[in-house]
This record gives sequence, C-alpha cells and structure tokens, in this order.
Amino acid sequence: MRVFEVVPAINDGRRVYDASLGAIEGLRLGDVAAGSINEAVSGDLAVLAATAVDTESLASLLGGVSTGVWAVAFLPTSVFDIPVGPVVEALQQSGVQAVDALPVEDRRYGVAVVVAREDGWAPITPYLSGRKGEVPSEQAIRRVIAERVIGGLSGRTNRAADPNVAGLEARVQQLEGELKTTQKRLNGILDSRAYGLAKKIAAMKPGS
Amino acid sequence: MSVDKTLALPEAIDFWDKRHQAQGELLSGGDLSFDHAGNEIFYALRIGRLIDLIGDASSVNAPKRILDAGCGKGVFSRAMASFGHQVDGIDSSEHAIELCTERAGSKEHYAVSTLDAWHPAYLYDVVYSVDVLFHIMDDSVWEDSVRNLATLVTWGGLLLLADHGGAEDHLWSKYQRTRASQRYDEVLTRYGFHREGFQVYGFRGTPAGFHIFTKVD
Repeated sequence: MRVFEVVPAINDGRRVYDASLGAIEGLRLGDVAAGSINEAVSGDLAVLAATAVDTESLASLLGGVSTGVWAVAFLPTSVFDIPVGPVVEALQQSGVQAVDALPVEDRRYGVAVVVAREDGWAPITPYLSGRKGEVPSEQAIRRVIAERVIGGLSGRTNRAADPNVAGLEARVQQLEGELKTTQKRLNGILDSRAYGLAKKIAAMKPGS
Repeated sequence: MSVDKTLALPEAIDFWDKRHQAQGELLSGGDLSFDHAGNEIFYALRIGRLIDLIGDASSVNAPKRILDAGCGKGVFSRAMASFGHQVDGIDSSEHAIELCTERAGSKEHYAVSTLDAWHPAYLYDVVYSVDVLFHIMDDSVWEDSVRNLATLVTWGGLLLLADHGGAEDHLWSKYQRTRASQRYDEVLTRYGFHREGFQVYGFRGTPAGFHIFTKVD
C-alpha cells in the first residue's frame, strides 16, 4: 500500500487532520486542517509521522491523541523489522487502542499503525479487508486471547521447526557479532590514529 | 427431478478425481453445460466476485492468509496468489492436487484433504469454498465441513461459502444437493458468525453465489 492510499483505506467518514508536520512525502491529503496533534478534536482522523520507533518517543507522540480522536501513525521502520515490543509498549503506555496496522511501500515509512482513544472499545479493522471493523464483545475478547495463546504456541513451534528461519537467524547473529568486533577494531584504529596525530601536533613548534 | 441414489463420500471422491483426470483445467471443476469460453467467463466472473468480497488491498511482504476449500485444479488459488495473498488449497482429488503442486508458486501450498479434515496450525483471514459444498451429498459430512471451515477463520475474518441462496434444500442430481440459506445460518451463528448477505454470481441466470459471513464473536 502506497503512502497516499493509507488514509482513504482506513477513513470511515472522519475529518482528516494533518499532524505530520510535513514530514511525509506524497500524502496527497489535499486541503485539510493541519497543525499540532494536540489541536485535533473528537471525530478527527489525525495523521502522524513518528521520528523513531522507540517506546519513549512513540508514546509521547501518541499521548497527544485526545479522546474521540483516531490517528494513523506512520512509522520509520521496515515491515520486516518492526520492533514489536517497543511499539506495543508505546501504545499501552499512551493509553490508545490499536485498530489496524498496515504495510506501507515507502522509502522511509514502512508501517502505518491506526490507533483510537475512546471511552470504550473501538472497532478493530480486519487485516487489509477494506471492511469496517467490529467493536469486540466480551466473547470476542476471549476469542482473541485464545487465538493469541494457542496460535502463539503454534507460531513458535513453526518458527523453530523452519530450518530456513533457524539458519538465517543463526547467520544474522553471527554477522552481528562480527560487525561488533569489526566496529571495535575500527574504533581502536581511529583512536590510535587520532592519538598519534595529536602527539604530532603537540610536538610541532610554532612557525615550523 | 427423481434421483434414485446419491454418491456416498468415497464414491464422490472417486467421481471427482476421475473427472479431474478426464477433463481440462476449466471443465474439470467448472460447469459441463458451458463450453470452454463460457467457463472462462464463469471463472473470471467468480474471481471478480471474490475480489469484491475479499477486497482489493494486498501486500506481498505481509500477505493475507487464504484457504481455498475444494480448490480443484487451483484456478482460484493461483489467482489469489497472483494478487499477493498466501494461499492454501485443499481438495479430495489427488490428481488435481498433484497438478496444482507442480504449478505452485511460492505463495501457494496444496494438500489432499476433505473440507471436514483440514486442521492447519494457523488461522485464515479468509476461507472460501467455490461450488463445492453442494456436491457434498451426505448432510452430516456437509455440516462437519461447514463447522470445520468455520473454526479456521480468525476473529474479524471472512467466510465465503458458495451455494444457491434458496429457502429450501433441493436435490438436483446424484452429485448435487443445494441447501437452504437457513441451514448455513443455523450452523454458523453458533460459531460466532454474522451473515452479511448473499452475493449471487450473476452469470447467465445461475442461482449460485456466495453466502457471506464474518467472524464477530
């Protein structure tokens, strides 16, 4: 999904409010209200551009979403590398509810997360469905938890059993280790060169 | 129409396997009363109906997971995979699945299985079955099949089951029995599904189409 397709795909008649501060190229929002996220009002769908995907900055950004406002936050991460822990933690800390998450084809922003701040539950959109979501009932919440618990176990075993994934993970770990070692060596070389250069400068006599 | 004897499950499996061996790609799972060109249109139209219902969004990097229940020679499965979705196709015909597997791309997986016996280790965003359930003659197998497909849909997901949208059951031949819409409702509401409607194919007067259900509870 391209950047400009995201808002039309998720908007269900809300007023679009651009709080991205011009950070996202090609949004094609047209003539919409724009400004700080704090000025978005109930009923708005605010557009946000995250500068990072660490918990603190993302929670701070989403913390500006006021009650009744929905927001779509474009995250500067690849969909393959989305840091699930920090993002989920940020959503929880900021007190918003996840509504949808979409892959985005963009040089900088690879994921769009839709959140809502409501007094009750907000409807959750089925993945890439284009359908309006359902407000989860108690029975639905039990179902989702069951899917998480049982499906989670299955996902773990499948992942562990996949020799390609296991092999790639081992290779990535090995490469990460090699990268750290190389960085240390490089830093050592740079330090010694800087030290040598400093010594030479110190030894130089004025006018020489 | 008077039908003396309907096909029992083993006979039906054998019947369809032989039909898949005897007929070409479209006619083996298509409608024998139409010629090849007619079946081309019929397949294209049903693929279009599926797009209408499943939606036109896709992601190659993070695909939807779809089950084609009773995939035959895989025309619908290949179409869905070509749209970027991750597709499992199941069918009772070993011959059909063999052909599907030979042609399968990286987003397709095929297995020999009846609809009531497919138990993967994950759930689907969309489960559909195109013109298969009304070829299951035994009512208890039909109900087991509908129930099993229902269990495979993730919360919020879509279940599309093709049949006629009539108010009564009807026996058409030794290998075709359509069921009343109410029969689907009775089974699926117990499994937390909401009926969204019935979408008739709209092809040359055929009454067949998709019962559309979403998993809401």
